[in-house]
Parts: sequence; C-alpha cells; structure tokens
Amino acid sequence: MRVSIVLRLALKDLKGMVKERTFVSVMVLLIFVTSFSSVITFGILTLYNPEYVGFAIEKEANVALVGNAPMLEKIMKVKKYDSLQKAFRDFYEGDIDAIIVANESSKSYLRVYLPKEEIKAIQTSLFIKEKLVKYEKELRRRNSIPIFELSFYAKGKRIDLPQGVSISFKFIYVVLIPLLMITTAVSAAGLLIDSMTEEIETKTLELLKSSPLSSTEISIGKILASYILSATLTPIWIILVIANGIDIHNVALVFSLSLSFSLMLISLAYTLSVVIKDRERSQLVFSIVIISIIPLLFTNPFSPVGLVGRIAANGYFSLFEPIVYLITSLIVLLSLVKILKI
Amino acid sequence: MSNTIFKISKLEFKKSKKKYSKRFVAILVLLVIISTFSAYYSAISGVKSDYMLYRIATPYKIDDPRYVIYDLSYSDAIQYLNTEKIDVYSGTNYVILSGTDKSLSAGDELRDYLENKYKEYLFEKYGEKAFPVLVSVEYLERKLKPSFEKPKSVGIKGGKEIEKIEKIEKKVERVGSKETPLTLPTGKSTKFRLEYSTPDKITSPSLLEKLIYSFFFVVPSFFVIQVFSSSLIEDKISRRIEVLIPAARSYEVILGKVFLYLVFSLLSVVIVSLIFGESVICLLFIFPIILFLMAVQCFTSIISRSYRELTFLSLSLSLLLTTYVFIPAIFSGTIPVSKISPITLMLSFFETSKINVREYVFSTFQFYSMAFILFHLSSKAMDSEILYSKSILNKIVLLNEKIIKRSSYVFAASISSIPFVFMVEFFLLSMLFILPQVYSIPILIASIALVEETFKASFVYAAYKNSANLYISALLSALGFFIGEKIIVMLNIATQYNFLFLSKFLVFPLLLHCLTMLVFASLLRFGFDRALAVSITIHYIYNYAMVVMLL
Repeated sequence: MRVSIVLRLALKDLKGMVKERTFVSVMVLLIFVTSFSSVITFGILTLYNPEYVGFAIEKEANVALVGNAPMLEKIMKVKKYDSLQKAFRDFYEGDIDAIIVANESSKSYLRVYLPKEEIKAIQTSLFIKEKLVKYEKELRRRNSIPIFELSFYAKGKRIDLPQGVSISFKFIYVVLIPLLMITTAVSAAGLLIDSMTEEIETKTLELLKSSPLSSTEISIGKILASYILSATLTPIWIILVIANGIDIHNVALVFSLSLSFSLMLISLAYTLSVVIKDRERSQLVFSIVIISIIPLLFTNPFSPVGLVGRIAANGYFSLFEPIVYLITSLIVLLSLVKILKI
Repeated sequence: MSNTIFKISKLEFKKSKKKYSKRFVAILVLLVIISTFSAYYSAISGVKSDYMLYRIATPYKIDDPRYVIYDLSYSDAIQYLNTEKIDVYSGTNYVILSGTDKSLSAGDELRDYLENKYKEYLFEKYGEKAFPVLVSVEYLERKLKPSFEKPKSVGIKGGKEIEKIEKIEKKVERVGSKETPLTLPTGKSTKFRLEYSTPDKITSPSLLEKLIYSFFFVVPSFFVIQVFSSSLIEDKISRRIEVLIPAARSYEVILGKVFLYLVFSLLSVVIVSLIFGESVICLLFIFPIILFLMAVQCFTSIISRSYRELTFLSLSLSLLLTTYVFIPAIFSGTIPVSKISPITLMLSFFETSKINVREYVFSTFQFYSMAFILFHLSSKAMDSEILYSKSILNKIVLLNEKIIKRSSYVFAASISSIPFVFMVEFFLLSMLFILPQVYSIPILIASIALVEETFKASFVYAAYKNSANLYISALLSALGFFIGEKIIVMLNIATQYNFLFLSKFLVFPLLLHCLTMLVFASLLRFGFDRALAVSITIHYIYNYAMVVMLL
C-alpha cells in the first residue's frame, strides 16, 4: 500500500472540512455538550440540593400548622391556625409559604401544601424536609427505636458531607465524558458516510478508481480522514473538560478508548455506505442503529461507555480492557475493508 | 396552488418509493423494532455504567456493584487512603474518605446505601412503628404579583380557589384512612397509602422520567426529518431543484416536499400515542415542534454546500433544538420558564387531560412563527445565485438583500427576528449563569448586546444595499425590535426573568434601540464591522448601567 497517496487522499477530505468550516460546527457541538451538561447538572442540583450549589437553605420559612403537633412545634417555628380555610387564605395572600396539616400521635400523617411553580417552593420544601427528618428522628427516639448516625472523616478531621454531592460527580463521569466520546465517534462516522457516498453519488469514485489507487487504498484514505478527525477532536474535548476544573485520570487510556470507539462506529459507517451506497439511506440506517446502541451501552458496565467513565475517574479497571477494544476494533475495521470493496 | 403542492408531494413519494424498496422498508421496520426493544430493555435494566466506580475497604459486607471491595486491615486501609488507592474505608458508624471529589461521591452514595439497609432492618424488627412520620405533599398554584420585594396580595380569585380549598379540606378529613398501599424505602409494600412517604423522600417536583417518556413521541419524527433534509440536499446537489423552480413557485416546491414528510411524522406520533395508550390530542403539542424542526432542516439543507456541511450543521442544530425543547420541561412545576416548551404542557396534559389555551398559545407561538419564517426564508433562498453561492454567511447576506428591499421591510424583519433572538438569549442565559456572578452578568449583557445589535444592523445593512433610506431603515429596525420585545413581555414569556433582558421598561429601550441604530447608520460609511462594534458598545454600556442600578 502506498502510504503517501493514501495520506494525500485523507488530507483532501480534511481540507474540504476546514474550507467549509465544518470543523467549527463540530467544535461548537462539543463546547455546547460540555457547557450545557454543566447547566443540566446545576439544574438538577438546584432542584435536589440547592445548599450544595450555593443557594443556602433558608433558615426560616413561613410555615402554617393546622392541627395539634407539639413536638413538631419544638423543632420548627410555625404559625398556628385553627382552620385550614384561614391558612389557605394567608397562603394565597403570600403571607405564608407552606401549610402543614398534622395531628401528632404515635404515627403522624402529615399533609403538606406548597406553592406550585415558584422558586420559593424548592427552598421551602427543602426547609420542611430537613425539619421533618429531625421530627422523625425525635419520634423514633421517643419510641425507643435505634437511631442511625454516620460520621465522615477526611484528612484526619470530621467533615460534614453534603447530601447529593455524588450527583455532579456521577453526571460528569457516567454521562458527560461518555457523551463526549459518543459525539466524537458519531461525528467521525458521519463524515465517513458523507465522503464515501458523495464520491459514489457524484460519480467521482469512478475517476478515483481509474487512477492508480486500489479500492483498499481509497477506502483506507477515506477512513483515515475520519480517524484523524476523531484523533483531533478527542484531545480537544479532554482539554475542554480539564479546563472546566474536572480531573481526568489516565488521559492516554481515555484517548485510546475514545479512538477505539470511533473506529467501531467508523466500521459501521463504512459497512453501511459500501452496502447501501447512497447518503440518505446510509445516514438513516446509521442513525437508527446508533439510537438503538447508545442506551444499551449505558446498561453494560463493560461497554466502552462504562469503561471510559471508570478510567477517567480512576475507578476499577484492567489495562487489558482498553487494549482489547483497540485491537478488536482495528481487526474488525481492516477485515471489513478487505471484505467489502468500495 | 394546492394542486401543484400535491403534485410535488406525489413526485417526492415516487422518488422515495424507488429508493425504499419493500426489502429495505422491512429492514427499517425491523431496526425500529429492535430500537424500541433496546430502549425498553435499557429502561427496565437501568444505568449500570457506574459499576466498579469506587474502591472501598471494609470488614463488612457491601453488596453494591458500584463498589469494588478491598480486603485490608485498618492500618493498610489508611495507607491506601492516603495514597488514593482506595476512596473509602467504612467502619462501624463511621466512614473515612481519602478527600478527593470521587471519595466524597463514594461517601454520599454509601450513606444512601447504609440508610436503606438501616430502614430494611428497622422494618424487619419494628414494622410500621419504625416509620412514625408519613408525609404527603401537594403543590398548589397561586397567583402573586411579581415583585422583587415581599409578595403583594392580589387576593383569592373568585369562587374557584374557595372551591379548591373545600375540596382539599374534604380530602384532609380522609387523612388517616388506610386506602392505598405505600411502598417504603425498603421496597416492601405495607398496608397504608401510596401518597405518603417518609420525610427524607420529599423532593421538589420534577418530571424527569416523564420527560424521557415524552421523548418517544418526538424521536421517530427525527428520522423522518432526516430523510426529508437528505432528499432536499440531494435534489439541490444534483440540481433537480433547478428543474422544478420554473415549473412551480418556490414555496410550492417547499410545501410539496414538506407535506409528505409532515404526514409521515404526524402518523408516527399517532402510532406512538396509540401504543402508549395516550390521547391523540398530544399531536397538538408535538405538531409545532415537528414543524419547527422541519423548517430548520429545510433551511439548513438549502444553505449547506455539501453533505458534510449538512451533516454537521444538522447534528449541532438538532442537539441544540432538542435541548431547547426538552430541557425546560425538567423544571416543570417549579419555575414558570418551563412553560416555554410545549413538552411541559404535554406532560401536564397527560396528567390532567386539560389544555390551558393561553399557555398553549404562549408556548407554541414561537415555534409556529419561527417555522413560518424559516419556510419563507427557504423559499426565498431557492434561487441559483443563493443556492450555489460560496459561504453560508454569504448566502444569508444575499438572502437578506433579496427580501429587505424597502425601509418598511426592515420593520417586519426586525419584529420577526424576536423569537430567534429570544431563543439565542435563552441559551446564553442558560449557559452563562453557572459562572460566578461577577463574570456572568457582564458577559451575558455583552452577549445580549451583540446578538440584538447584529440582528438589527443586518436588516438595516440589507435595506441600505438596496438603496433604501438609511436613517428611516435604522429607526424602523429599532421600532420593530422594540414592539417585538413588548409582545414578549405582554405574553409574559420571560416572567421572572425579563428583568435580565431589561425589556420591562417602556420608553428607555425604544430610545436605546433608536440611538444604537442611528449611530450604526451614521458610521456605516466606515464599514459594517466598525459601525456594529460601536452600536454594541453603546448597548452594552446602557444595559450594564441599568443592571447596576437595579441590583
């Protein structure tokens, strides 16, 4: 195989991308995925744990109590009402933020009314949650039920571990990093389908074939362009993630696994474009197959999606795993090039 | 007219029939079935890609696949923690962490695991007595006057609210009756009611699961739209479209092509709703989304130069627009801005079977209007000079010049740009608010100034190129933009957030828009970029000063 000619063919495709500024839209895509993922994490955290993201839970909320609950009154400052109707009137006036209907006994059934579609509701619900957990603890204590207390220590000191701290960590390593790996691979595979089918549909492939290039060299040249795109995009998203203050461990292995995954999708794209031969149908089948595969990847801990998260987070993995993926993906791709002639 | 549209649809159908043989369609159906099964399997199986994420040393049994257990003595475990070889050591009622973010996460998840084990133990040993507090939460809508200070009363609105209270009171009387079963955190069912849970389970309302469910209604249309855009660019590249243009009007060509795929898309929504046993009325919510996505893809196909460019543009835009459509729905029931998405309303419809006409108009108007504008732009772009010009930017400039021929058109263009400006600003707001306030506000203000001035100035520039009166165009651009903004405020789209766009002040924004556009017009002779930079700077200074005064 004449390496220089294959390289020239790959560079021709890449030049086209640079000229059309297609590369810019892929970059925008990656930046968007990175930044918007932070928004989603932030949004979820704001809903479930505002204290953690810097919105301190209000020390006091205006809570109305309808009914009799002396122990609850000791735990939470409440405004007592003798009827629910009066409490509702003040609730709709905006004077109180929540209503608790309770009649304390050995088993208390509480009904809580909170405002809908108000940011205040998030704050108030968290305030009430905190107080009611305390209330539950007190009642358990009164009923002589053992209380569960767990202390956390780090660097020789006792620490207060915020609830929900795992949400953002897991979102980064279980969702964001795999998603960036998938986006890169889909972009590279999409490029291959386009460049292969464009040559077929515009009949320029016939011209290429009449040149001294063999079918295998043409295929490898096209695949190389997609592979170079993936090899360029992967370090970019790794840098973007690191620039966002996120640790990526074992960078070389993350890079290698991302490229292996791109090779897998490139193999699929190559098969589809050679077999189907037109862009419309190849891209359609590719999209449906990808939509089927992506959720499955998240359900298997040994898939590239699970593995990339574990490697990046320095979880448990064997060096053997990324190597197997790299070798297998290379063998599959080269076999396909050999079997399926363009 | 409709005859031509149907003829073009028929032609499109014939063309597709040639491509999509029975065998190929059978393969596609098979793939869709596999895809559905895959989604179903994934949903019931759950995320397992977090397995083996943490390393833990403990003398106790931890049967959680997220943890890889190391059998270490206490002293060895401490050494391993110091060198970050393990994340956590779990002893009796205490947990030692290595101090990294990962160890904090491992500790947080371990706490949940141990608390669940504790509850299982309590339930087995003490039964229901171990759960002395059971809570039921209900969210009620109230209308308070928007204010930055203490909420001012607007009173109880008529009999409706009173009725609601009475109904609730009746419900409250039933509290304590043992009707429906409750699932305790241990996963074991007891005899009491479903609505009640232990206090630690109180969460803010979020429709995350239902959001995923709503995804099924839109996803099949994505594929149909993909085929539509592919077919359109293929016609463009093979220059088939040039044959059609003289035979029919450009908008008839567009509508003819759109019609066929729109029917297929809507059919897919009907099928999905029948499969899930939901009302076909959900079409009302999905239709504007499909129409908008089709319009975007139509415009993208027409301005793209090659398959490659189309693939990447549509990949980026699909992701952006899916986010725009779906993400607000995550916050359903918590913040009013969630209602900008028809998906939020569809989810609410699934629960209540009610449609609020005002909310429907307010959430779908922007999608309908943007779809209409994009289809209009696409039909205007069906011109050899634009279709085959060099860059996308060049095409947009040419298109602007083709449409905005007189000063009065600047007004219409400016007012029509508002939904797009709103969408871009929504993204900016979402993406920048995570930065510290010191940076986020100035960057957001600068970005808003850049977006608004670029839109307004480009219309004025197009009119100027067509020899329209520059200063009148500038004033009309400002006026159109101002009126568009006011419509948004009247529709109450931005509710609590419109102070960030500074659109609630009546006269000042009009003066600002006029000033920036007049400055732009007078400096245009020094070049578009320079004139635009000055108008952006003025807009920025004004917005910054207003925000500083407000905060």
